[in-house]
Amino acid sequence: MSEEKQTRETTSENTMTRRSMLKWTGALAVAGAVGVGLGYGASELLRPAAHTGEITETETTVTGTAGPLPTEEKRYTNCTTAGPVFAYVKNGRILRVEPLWYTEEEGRRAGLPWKIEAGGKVFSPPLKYPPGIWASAARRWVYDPARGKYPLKRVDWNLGGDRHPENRGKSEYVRISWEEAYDLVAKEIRRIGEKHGRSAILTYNSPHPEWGSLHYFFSDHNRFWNLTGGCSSLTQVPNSWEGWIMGAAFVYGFFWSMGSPNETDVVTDIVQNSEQIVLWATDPLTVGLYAGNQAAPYWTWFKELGKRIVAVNPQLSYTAFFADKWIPVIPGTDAALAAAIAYVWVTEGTYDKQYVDTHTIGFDEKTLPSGAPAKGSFKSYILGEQDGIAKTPEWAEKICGVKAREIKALAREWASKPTCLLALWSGACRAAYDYEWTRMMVTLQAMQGFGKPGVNMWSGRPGAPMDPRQQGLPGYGDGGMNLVANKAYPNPIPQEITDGYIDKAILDPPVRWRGASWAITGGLDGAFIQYEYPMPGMSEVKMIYQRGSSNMHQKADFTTWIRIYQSPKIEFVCVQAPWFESDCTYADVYLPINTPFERNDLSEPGKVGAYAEPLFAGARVAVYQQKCIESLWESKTDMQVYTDLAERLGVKDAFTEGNTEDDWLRKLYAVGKIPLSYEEFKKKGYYLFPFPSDYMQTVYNPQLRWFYHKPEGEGLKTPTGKLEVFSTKLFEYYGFEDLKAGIAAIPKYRQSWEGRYSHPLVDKYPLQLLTPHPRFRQHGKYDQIPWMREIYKVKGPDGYEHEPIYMNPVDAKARGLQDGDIVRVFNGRGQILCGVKLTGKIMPGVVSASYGAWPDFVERGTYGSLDKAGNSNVLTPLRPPEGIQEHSVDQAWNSVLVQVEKWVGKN
Amino acid sequence: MTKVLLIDVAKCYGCQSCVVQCKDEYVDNDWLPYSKAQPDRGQLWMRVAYLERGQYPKVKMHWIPMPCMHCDNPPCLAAATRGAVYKRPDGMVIIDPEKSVGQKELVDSCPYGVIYYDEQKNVPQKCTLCAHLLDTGWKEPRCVKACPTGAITYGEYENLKKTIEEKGAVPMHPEYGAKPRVYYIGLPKTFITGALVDNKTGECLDGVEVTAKDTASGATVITKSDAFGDFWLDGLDAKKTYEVTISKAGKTKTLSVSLDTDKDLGDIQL
Repeated sequence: MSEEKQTRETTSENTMTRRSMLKWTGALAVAGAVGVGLGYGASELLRPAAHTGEITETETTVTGTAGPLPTEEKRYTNCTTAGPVFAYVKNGRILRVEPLWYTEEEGRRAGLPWKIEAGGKVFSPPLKYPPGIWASAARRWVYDPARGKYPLKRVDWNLGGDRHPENRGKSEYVRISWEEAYDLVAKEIRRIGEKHGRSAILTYNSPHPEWGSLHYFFSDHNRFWNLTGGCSSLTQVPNSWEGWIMGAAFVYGFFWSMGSPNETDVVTDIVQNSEQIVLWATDPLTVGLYAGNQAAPYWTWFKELGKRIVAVNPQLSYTAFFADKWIPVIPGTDAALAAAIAYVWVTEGTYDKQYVDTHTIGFDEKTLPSGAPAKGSFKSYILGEQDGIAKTPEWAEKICGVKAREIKALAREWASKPTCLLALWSGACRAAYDYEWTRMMVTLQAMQGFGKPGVNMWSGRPGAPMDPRQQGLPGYGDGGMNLVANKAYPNPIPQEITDGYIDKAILDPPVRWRGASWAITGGLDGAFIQYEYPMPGMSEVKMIYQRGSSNMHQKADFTTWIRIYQSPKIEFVCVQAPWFESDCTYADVYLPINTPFERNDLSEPGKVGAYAEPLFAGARVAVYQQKCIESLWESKTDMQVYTDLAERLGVKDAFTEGNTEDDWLRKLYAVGKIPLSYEEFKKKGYYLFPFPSDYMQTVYNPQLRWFYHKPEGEGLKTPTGKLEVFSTKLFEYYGFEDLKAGIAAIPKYRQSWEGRYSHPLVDKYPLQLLTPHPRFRQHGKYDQIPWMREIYKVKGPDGYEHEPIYMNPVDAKARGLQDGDIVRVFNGRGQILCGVKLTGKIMPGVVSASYGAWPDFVERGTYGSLDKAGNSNVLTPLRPPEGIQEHSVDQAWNSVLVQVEKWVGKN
Repeated sequence: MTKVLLIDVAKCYGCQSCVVQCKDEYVDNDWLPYSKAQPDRGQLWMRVAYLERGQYPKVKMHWIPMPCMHCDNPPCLAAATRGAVYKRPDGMVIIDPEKSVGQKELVDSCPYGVIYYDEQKNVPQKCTLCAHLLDTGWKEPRCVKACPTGAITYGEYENLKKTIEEKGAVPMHPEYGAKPRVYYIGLPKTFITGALVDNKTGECLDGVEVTAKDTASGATVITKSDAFGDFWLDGLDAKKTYEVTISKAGKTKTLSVSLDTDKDLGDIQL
């Protein structure tokens, strides 16, 4: 490379010249203090606690790409949230954590790796499991100084006297014994339950705790609280898929699977039949929570096969490294772009006219349901027959910023090539009126014959060849101990609070909203169920109990939670979690939990549960999560904590039914019907599911191919069984167009309430902020890990590591900003500090800062204080100000206006 | 039996798995006599440099893994005293963690910037290509095993020689004269891009041939515009002047472009 290029390198992401690196080395003392919990020095390292359980005797003969193990080393199998791993242990300490791999011989016996033939070539995944990045850093987070070491009590929380709720987040903590902690917690559970009823206890969980199926909130947490009398539940808004559940689900059903269609065999369909991939608003290689990098080999295959890859996104994503074309689109206007693509197809006649007649409702006038108004079809909307505005490329250009000629080119390419639409989940589904865009996405594929070979929808992760006849181990969502116990306990308390209304519920009740939160149960009508808090006969919340932490700071407008935790209504807050962070720092009692490396469990990587397909990109595997080290410090499993609390509440026998951890695992294993004895599986550590040699002939059944061939009959899980471009269900509830409800029967482009055209707000806060899922954290987890921090954080002049904010040089110049500057990013909801990264990968007028950094308020625990760490969820809205706000959806993480200015103050 | 690394830059999308798994192997782990433990922060024995070419919206991203180059003419070895750096018969260059104590000058001796200094242990440190693992039977260093796309290959030079030659793989900065054993396929050079527009219809011009001729050497690069009218003439050299020729239906447009960095000619009406 030329000298000049080296210079450019140094101004960009994750690069350091030798000089800056050396400077950095000198600043370690400062950086080392960042993000570490209260009072724990980094010098305090591993102190094994008393023996807490059996460590599995594993097979020590390791062949293949590794040599024989040194005799003092043992290799164990485990699984993280980002994939399966081997942990090598020596003298009771983890030496290395290596992603799982298998030998050619093991593969051969299982018919692996599978092969896809296309274009005269054969493609196979590698014999290993490239995991998400934080799996590679597992050893670091196991021994992290921020691990909770002992049970803690907030110093000024006095059980008998003043509880000082206003000091939550501010006070220090003192170490207490487990006995004392259990006594306090059991006493409070009993007291509050007896005084106010069990509905006064609100419990919830980290949405992504450490991996397992026995040790998971669906298992121990639910069993404990339900068994002991129930509790009010905090239900999450559908925070990573919400546009799909509230939009697309009305078009194609799939309400039970978060609004995403099944992705069965999609990978084979793409490799063999798709000629183009439209990567719309998503970055699957980054946000593939449970697979991510594992899907990377696919992209090298797509390139090798010459598939056209077009990225539509305000930001050039990491996955778009593989793209041939980047089409930047102004955030919040994706539906206008989609409408213009439909316009090109309609006016040029390049859509599947027969398919829309036989497979859809309301694409055009002749398939409108009875009672629908004339000119009520999607086609009429596109042609401007409803509102007098034809949705031409020229119309869209003025809104979305994409040149009309490029819109036409994209539309023509799409119409002429079988196209995989890679848009499921994504950033555009986390924005104002996101449900319009998702409905448009399904409609576009419907216009091209959704289900035809090569015409599919993908999230970029699942859909690998597999044998669906193999049941496999229960996923974490299947209930763990409750799945295999003699008696399961439903929650007798029906009261729920959606986290979209948590502020009003706690601080200013009553509150009402519509719709089950994270998925729709009981059919599409579930979206319209009316909820209220407090429910008649139920108490307001007096106590909050949380399992897992890393919760509040990954929620929209999360500083709201400071006010909630500091409310005098809340008499007791207890959090149990592996690291002392986030919600833990607002708890009255904190209980330290161990990591998956310190207990046994079993699971399949990425397996959520019965309601979702196994999520893997290479070979399907079941993993025995072998405990390989003793619990660190005084940490315990969540299940042990709940067992001990159950004992104090007199229900231990009902909770455990006499089962040990090993008993539970043996029972869970039996559900999976794996043809290997439990003992063999436990010792070996993993099981490769055999792959059928006649896959294409026997089980290959991609996505909606069946529906493409047979639209009659039962069809999709929509009221008509068809693709309802015109939703009969929305029509039934809201009529053709109830703008108060915020959602019409057909998809339309609607202008964001907080976006490029939101005057006068945009005049004050002129930059659109994107808050994507983080690349080097799982939401808010693992933010503290230096092995990842040093790759991407931006260091201030004082050595402080700030979250990066990506900015176009045009916007930087207008503000006098340079690469590496520390800036204040603010709007009416809050303020954060970030480090500027200048890049041509983002549109002018748009900035991007991932959420989830561990907040570090200048004034600790103070609502409205400046967050130095730069968690962009300080700036995101809790719920929409208009539109569909009656429903507990539409938290618009990517419809945020901000201003950015150089930070000249002292941190 | 000498080893090399072959890195295909077109397959690296910057996941950083190699970087973090390198940390996993070395931080807090002594692998004597090969290496002392790497400190928790401040050293990247494998680092992935990011290079962004061009300007919005015509940008190209590149990630370039940079371990120790295990040079055949290692500047660090030349700078070392007391035999602190040695070259193994398999080609790997190792800094002896005992003999190198205090030899801070090794850091600056490396033109690739891959040697670090641990002030606590007073020792210069760098990538050992996981020699401690390879010597006990591992087939690949951690970084190679970590890579999801197979962008990094480890093997015998003799076995990889053919690929190296066919793909035109080259060491980084051969002009340093250090003779690295790390070869790169597709190290980014410089591009000229633009978008062809039909001056009558205003639409994108697909399939139009575009040629860049080095006015000094006469060497040419030929490409065709895509469905969006975009063309990318890549693999060019900065500080050269190119004659860019666009031919459509017998008509020809010629532009003279003196290239100092990646250049977007913008919309070109034809």
